[in-house]
Amino acid sequence: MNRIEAMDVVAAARGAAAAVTGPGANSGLLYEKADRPATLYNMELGYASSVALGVALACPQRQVLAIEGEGSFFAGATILSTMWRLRPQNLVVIVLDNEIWGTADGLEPTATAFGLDLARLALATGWDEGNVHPSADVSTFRGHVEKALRGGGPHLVIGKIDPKQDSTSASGSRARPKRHILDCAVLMRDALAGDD
Amino acid sequence: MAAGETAMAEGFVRGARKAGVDACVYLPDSCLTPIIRVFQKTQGVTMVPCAREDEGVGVAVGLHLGGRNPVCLMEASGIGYSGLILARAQVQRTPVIIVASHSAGAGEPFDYHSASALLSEGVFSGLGIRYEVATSSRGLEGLIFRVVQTSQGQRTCFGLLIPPFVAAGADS
Repeated sequence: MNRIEAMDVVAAARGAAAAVTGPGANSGLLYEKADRPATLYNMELGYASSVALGVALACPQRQVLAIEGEGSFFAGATILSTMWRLRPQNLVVIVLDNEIWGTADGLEPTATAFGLDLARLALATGWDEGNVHPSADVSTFRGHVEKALRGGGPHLVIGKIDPKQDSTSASGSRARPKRHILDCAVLMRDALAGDD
Repeated sequence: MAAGETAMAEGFVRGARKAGVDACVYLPDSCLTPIIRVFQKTQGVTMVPCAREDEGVGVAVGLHLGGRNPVCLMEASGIGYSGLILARAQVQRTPVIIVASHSAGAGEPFDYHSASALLSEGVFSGLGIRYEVATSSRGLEGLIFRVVQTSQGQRTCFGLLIPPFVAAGADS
């Protein structure tokens, strides 16, 4: 699976879900493919999932997506235990793992290139197997994303991205959101007003 | 809890609730635990215990975007972890309120709080985040009310530092 295929799946399944995306390629792709007012793009490294958890707790009637690369997600991985402790049913975390830091020349490997297994990490922090969904092909990934967005969360969907097919790894070659982060925050709060 | 701590904590929570606070993100801390315990017994407040202070600030950002009014309680050391996410909150005008123990001022007897006391005001100043240092436990009710008022009205993060003698209610 490559990142564009994975984000096509996310875009098709998103519906009215609020979303917080981590830094890098996933932000630009979501903006191009499935922009909504309730979206925060390019959240700082390590914090997309924690911000999404807050949104999910505030708006239990709305599905909430966190979309991060594996580098960002692992940098903030303590959130795994907090998510499971609080268990918001409307939270779906999608980690697209290409084993490479998505910056500069896109050649620096991340921890998952050396054996870090994010699914096993989630299980080690208490998650049930039924809420952790690793996948390496588009069809399996699509099934996991669609099912997770139907509820019963929190869900952790890990999509393995083939680094040889990832044209978005280098920072110079990717799409970027065309909305300022301040405007995103204002739009998001306005879009979620009345949800509770 | 000692009587002074109870009165301090109840006053704080009364002021916070009057100002509209409906969520408390926290890590336990010896000075602020009385406030956490009163929040835990207060109806209508969502409690969010965290594993790290910076993830807690992230959760608070999300809670606010979803329409809630949280405060974050932590030892001042956590402000050091939280620099980046606080900067993001400030840039996107999401008003996160940090309530932390220890300041660089008087009433800090222990050497192991030196780093915490040093960094809290440094981070706030460096990021342009306004903050107050509480000097009276009896004044906390009004002070937290005004902190929330300013934070929400000006859409800015705001820090409130509570030294140990104030948290203990030993200031009068």
